[in-house]
Amino acid sequence: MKNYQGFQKLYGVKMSDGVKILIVDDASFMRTVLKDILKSNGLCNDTIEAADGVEAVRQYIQHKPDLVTMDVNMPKADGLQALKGIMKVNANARVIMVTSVEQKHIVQDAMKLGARDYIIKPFDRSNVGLILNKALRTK
Amino acid sequence: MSDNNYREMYVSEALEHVTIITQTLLQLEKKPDERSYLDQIFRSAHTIKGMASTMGYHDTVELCKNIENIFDEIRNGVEKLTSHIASILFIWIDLLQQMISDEKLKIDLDPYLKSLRNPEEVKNHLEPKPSTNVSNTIRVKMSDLDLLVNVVGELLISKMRLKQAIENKDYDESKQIMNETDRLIADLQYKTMQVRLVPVNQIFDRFSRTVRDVSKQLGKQINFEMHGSGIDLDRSVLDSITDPLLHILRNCVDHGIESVEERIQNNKSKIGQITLTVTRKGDNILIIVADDGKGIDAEKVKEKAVEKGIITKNEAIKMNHQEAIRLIGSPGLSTAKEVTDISGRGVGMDVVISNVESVGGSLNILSEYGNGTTMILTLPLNISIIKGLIILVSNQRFVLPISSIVTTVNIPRTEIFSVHGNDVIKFQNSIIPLIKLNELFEIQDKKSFENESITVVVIENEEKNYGLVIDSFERNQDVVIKKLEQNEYSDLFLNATILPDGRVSLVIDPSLLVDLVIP
Repeated sequence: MKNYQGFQKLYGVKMSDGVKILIVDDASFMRTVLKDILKSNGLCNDTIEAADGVEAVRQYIQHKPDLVTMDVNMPKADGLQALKGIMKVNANARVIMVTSVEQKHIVQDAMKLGARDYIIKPFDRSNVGLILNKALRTK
Repeated sequence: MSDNNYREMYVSEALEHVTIITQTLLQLEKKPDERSYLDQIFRSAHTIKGMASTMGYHDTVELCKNIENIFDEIRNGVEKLTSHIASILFIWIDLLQQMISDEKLKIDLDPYLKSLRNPEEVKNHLEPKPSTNVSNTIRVKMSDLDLLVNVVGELLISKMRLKQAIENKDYDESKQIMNETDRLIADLQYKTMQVRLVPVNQIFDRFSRTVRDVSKQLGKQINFEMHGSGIDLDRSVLDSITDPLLHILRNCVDHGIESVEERIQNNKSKIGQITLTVTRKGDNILIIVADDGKGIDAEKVKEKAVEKGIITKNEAIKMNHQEAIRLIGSPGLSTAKEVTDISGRGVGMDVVISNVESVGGSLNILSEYGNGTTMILTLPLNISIIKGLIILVSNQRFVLPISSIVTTVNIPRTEIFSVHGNDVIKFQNSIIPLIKLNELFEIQDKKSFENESITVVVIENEEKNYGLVIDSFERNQDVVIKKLEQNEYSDLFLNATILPDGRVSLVIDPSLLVDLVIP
């Protein structure tokens, strides 16, 4: 919990217990890493996971999370397709794309479709905290 | 979560993707235009790359990037999946697997990466060597673990209730709790065994890969098919048969399937056929490897066995076809004209057989010269718990695996015949030999009087029946098998178990028994 308090002090944000984040990635390893970052940053204790684009949209509809982190390369429906699906459900959905360095061009497409921002793999802990937090503060 | 836990997760998930890449690439070679295969490989390489970058494994990232690139080029029609490129990719995938499994592995990637554009590089430096490194972990569904924890919780409650009931000297209550505990333990046992099961297709991709590599190396054309991927097998059984199966498959390609010219000469299709089928039969799993190659020349096997002093000339003359074929399992026999580095039929068949027998399995070989060979591996579903029949021989208890029992019969002594000095009985229209266990185990009970009838357990071993003469049998029971250390009776007993009364009982292995009595 030390990290959590540190984060509050640092960014002047009070993490509400109610923040719910949907982590979308086909690799359970990546989902766990991200989940741990969110926890240790004190950003969110309440996470839901999806392993492909189709499941992502389904989970979004069911849980109405406050924010979604969206991987790009996934089976069934990729990140962009899932993003479109989620934006159809909620035009104000907060979706953060998760990409690797060389996929930045996809980010531009994603932003046009309504994504709020992006984070890059491998994750920089404090950067992830900043970007997600910024997105959570905007409506 | 500790870094170590991350590493375990990384290794197991990345290796799964390596498996997917290998399987998909094998399919892609057959259907090079299938876009979904290309996408799949690209995606898996990308996923491994993402995980490796998180772990900080830069070489792994680099290699994945190269795999991604080549598939991107193939997708965009810039590059074509030639046989050379496929071979290089397989080498890369092997390398990738090694790098994932071994954190400390230091490899100069350069020659590997250059080999894609420079075929000479392959011949000079890189030999394809499919890694036999299988991770020693299994993935267990969280829900399965929860079930186990639940049962353990219930057991603890039962224990407390039992303690209470004993303190209250409440016999009826104790008895009932005991019954419930029994059910719980059976449940726990079943669920624990379930957790140890892994799908056989986990090792299937390595088989396709081996057949592909060896057939390319030898310039043979082979269609390799595998059936029955939905079957689960105990992890330790699977581990111990992987190498034997690889050996059998290499043999099929190397010595079984003929060269294209030879096949055409013999009016066979120029593409050789090898099938691997996994099916379930009772408490056993059968793995059947069949090829339509040249088969085993029984006469030649006999000749060779005489030459090597394994059997005498006289024995060879008496031997029937099936017995001659079984000779290829004898240590030190090789019928291949020249020993290749791929396999030498006979060199390893004895090792294959002992490997299979070490997990309680058996190997049956059927072959007709000119018309292919079929190898049938019979394996127990899991090795540590078997259903056994408790039998009594001269007042000592032994366990006989139910899986080998055909039936039990009472036979009047008047119906025992003698053939060549051996006692036999008639069973279902055939004559089967009797094995008197008390004589064999040298535990004749002098007090035992001659009954008018004898009790016989009919067992099946390698499709033949034998009658075991016993005093009586008690009941069927699940027994936990404990392996015995090597001792002077190892030719007869490999395992023992502890019976409910706390006494140790030896487990009879029908195949060893038959081997000992009927040479």
